[in-house]
Amino acid sequence: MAEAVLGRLAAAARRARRREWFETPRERNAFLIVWGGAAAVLFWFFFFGPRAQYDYNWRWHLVWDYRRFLLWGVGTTMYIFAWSLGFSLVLGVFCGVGRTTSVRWVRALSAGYVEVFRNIPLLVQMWWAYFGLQEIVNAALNEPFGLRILVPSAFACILALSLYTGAYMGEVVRSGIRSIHRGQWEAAASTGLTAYQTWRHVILPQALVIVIPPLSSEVLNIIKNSAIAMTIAITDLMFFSQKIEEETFAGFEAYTAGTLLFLLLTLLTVGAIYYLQRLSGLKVRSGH
Amino acid sequence: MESFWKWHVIPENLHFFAMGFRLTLVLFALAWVGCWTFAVVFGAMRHSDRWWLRYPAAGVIEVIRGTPGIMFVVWVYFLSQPLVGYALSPFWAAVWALLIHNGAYGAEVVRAGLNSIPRGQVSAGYSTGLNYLQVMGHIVLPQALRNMAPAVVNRSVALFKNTSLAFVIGVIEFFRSGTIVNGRENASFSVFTFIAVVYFLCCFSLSRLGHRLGQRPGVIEDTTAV
Repeated sequence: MAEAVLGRLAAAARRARRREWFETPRERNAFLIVWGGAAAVLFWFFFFGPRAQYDYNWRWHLVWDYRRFLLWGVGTTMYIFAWSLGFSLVLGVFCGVGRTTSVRWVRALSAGYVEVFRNIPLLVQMWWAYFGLQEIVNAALNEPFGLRILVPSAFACILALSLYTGAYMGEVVRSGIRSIHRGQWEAAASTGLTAYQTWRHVILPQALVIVIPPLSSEVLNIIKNSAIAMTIAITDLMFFSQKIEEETFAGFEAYTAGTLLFLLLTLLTVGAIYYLQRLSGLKVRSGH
Repeated sequence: MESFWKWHVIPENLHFFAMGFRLTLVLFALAWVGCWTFAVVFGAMRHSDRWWLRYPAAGVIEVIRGTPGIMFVVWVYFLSQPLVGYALSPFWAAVWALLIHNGAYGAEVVRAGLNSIPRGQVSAGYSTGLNYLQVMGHIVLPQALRNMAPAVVNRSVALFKNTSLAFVIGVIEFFRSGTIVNGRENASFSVFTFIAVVYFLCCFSLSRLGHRLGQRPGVIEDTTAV
């Protein structure tokens, strides 16, 4: 990915040096009309439009004043991410294998799991895991045995996030396993490998390398979806953005800082995944 | 002993749930139309050969795709204050946010659909004297739309699920109507199970439709968890 970006940048730099920005004069005119028009509309909007009379009191310094809040939020988000990543990868691999085995009830179970968890909003799943589960725990454990067990919000959040992402990862792993050629199965069977050995030494090592690009996009989705945990009182980045807004009423500044930090986290994760691929020396076909 | 088995709250509050569900459907319909308009414009821009269309579109799409949906909803809600000088109503802020956020994902679907048509066909179209709109209308789109159909349905299912995020800025859609009923009746298990079942029935029937469209080779599937 990085090479492709660098290559494009180098090509753009070459074009710029040769002053070949446009292929034809007509293309240059189209460029001027499109972006000149957009610039004119923006200029009108900010200096003469309805917005011109309104003075918003920008307070960007608050982002720096509340840096401890944001850092704490980043820490919690990474904590939720790390646990959910582990659980959902394991779930995804088991589910992907389950959907491609010849055992019918395992296949039906995995398919049911995928359909149920993919077709319910994560928000609903998280609230179910936090508030709904608490009622079950109350009825099953707390009241009969006189206990006071509270479902921790971190547990509910990691549970829901892992189950949700695991269902998506299961589909990715399944498509990877499906793309392994039939000859591989036949060769493994004819050399006398057992079913476990075939999975462990022949199928999964190939399938999991194929699915690295789509799987890494699901990994990024964990970070983004973890923002929903704010609604069940996880003190993550989103929660602290809201906290800053509550304390200062500088909503736009607070949420812009939070959004940019989320963007930074996903970019760092992309970089880390790319670095790990390079480090492992795997030949990964770049996805999209 | 207080039971978690309180299904009677569902019929008792059915009218309120129905109001919430109606608002979810309205949100979905408005955001769906806008989402695919956005997606077609930005997908075509990103597919273009012109750097001054491709790079801005790529930047916008990737930045939006890198931010969480729930954050984006709140961000658009607060953006309206400095941008247009007054706060948008939560409903319209939610429509715009869902539209732009899902439109960015939809643009990738459109781009993949356009990319699925070999470049040679486009060149052949131009060399017979067709213009851009004719090439798109007669050669690219009829094939690309068929390849895209399952991905479009999957993205629409995701949009339907994402309408629940409007809850966070106070739009009383289906999920928020559930939290309000739960706040009054204290029946989390029954209420949230009911909500989950309704969302499941809607999304599952939609995604079955996408599955039926997607049983061919060469088809594009969009199965991202956002």
